[in-house]
Amino acid sequence: MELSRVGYVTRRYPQLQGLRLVPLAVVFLVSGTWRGGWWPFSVASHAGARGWFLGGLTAAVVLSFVIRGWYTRRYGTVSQGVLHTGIVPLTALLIGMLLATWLQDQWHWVYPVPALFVGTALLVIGVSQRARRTHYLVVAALWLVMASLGLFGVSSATRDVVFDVTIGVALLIAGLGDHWVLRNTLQHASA
Amino acid sequence: MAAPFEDLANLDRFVHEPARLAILTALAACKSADFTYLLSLTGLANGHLSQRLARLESGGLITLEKTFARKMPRTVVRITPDGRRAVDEHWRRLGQMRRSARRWGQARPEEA
Repeated sequence: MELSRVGYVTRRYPQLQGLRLVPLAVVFLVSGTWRGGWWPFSVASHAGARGWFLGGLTAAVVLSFVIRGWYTRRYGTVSQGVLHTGIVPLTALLIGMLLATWLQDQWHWVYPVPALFVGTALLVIGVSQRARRTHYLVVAALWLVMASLGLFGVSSATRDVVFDVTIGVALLIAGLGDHWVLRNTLQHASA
Repeated sequence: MAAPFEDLANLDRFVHEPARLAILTALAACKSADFTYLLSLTGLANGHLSQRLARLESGGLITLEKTFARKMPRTVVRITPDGRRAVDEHWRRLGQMRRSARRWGQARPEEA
């Protein structure tokens, strides 16, 4: 047991339950590869495709709660005060996204400002927590490259495919990386 | 300058024991944690963890609350203000010792 990890992992225990992101990653990967024509089946209408996607998202959310139960059984439970949960950074991210979207609408910059904002937020996590969460640097780099594709004249259809695949891959890297951090600190409790 | 190992004598040995320090450090980073979490964190056997928790409780550094979750017994552990003070002070002293050890190590070759 490495003592310096103890406080870090305990403070971020819910956020480090990375396997909870995997079902969501699968939904985006399936969506992206389907859009790219890599699946043999087709959906009759746009509304049908949207229905499948929303169904997949719902299943991913449900599965995420099932996986949370698995973490609780395997590693136990930690309670945090409201200010120390993910609510504060999530709210800040949401407000930042709304502001970035507003700025984009006002100024019509070539580079998508909301995507730049998300990429920067990921970069901040990767840099500020580089001792434990270096994988966020990879996620941020992937994200920023994806967001830059428009600058290089990549068609919007291709960007749609790359967008979904990038989200899927980013969620997989973040999720598996976070789980690895948790797995390396906590042992399976046999209580 | 006092050699850093002389400061070791002033450390709170009750808090410094590795498993107890890990438990207190974890509890200082959250509102509460359950027995299973502390078990997975310390890697101790059930009995050993119970013993350490009982000692910390008798020392007034933590509180134990026995509850039931889905008809299963659950022990919730919280750090007390005294416990938080003790572990914060302990880490502060360890940091201080680390810094003075570094200075001491740098000063020694010149003295020789």
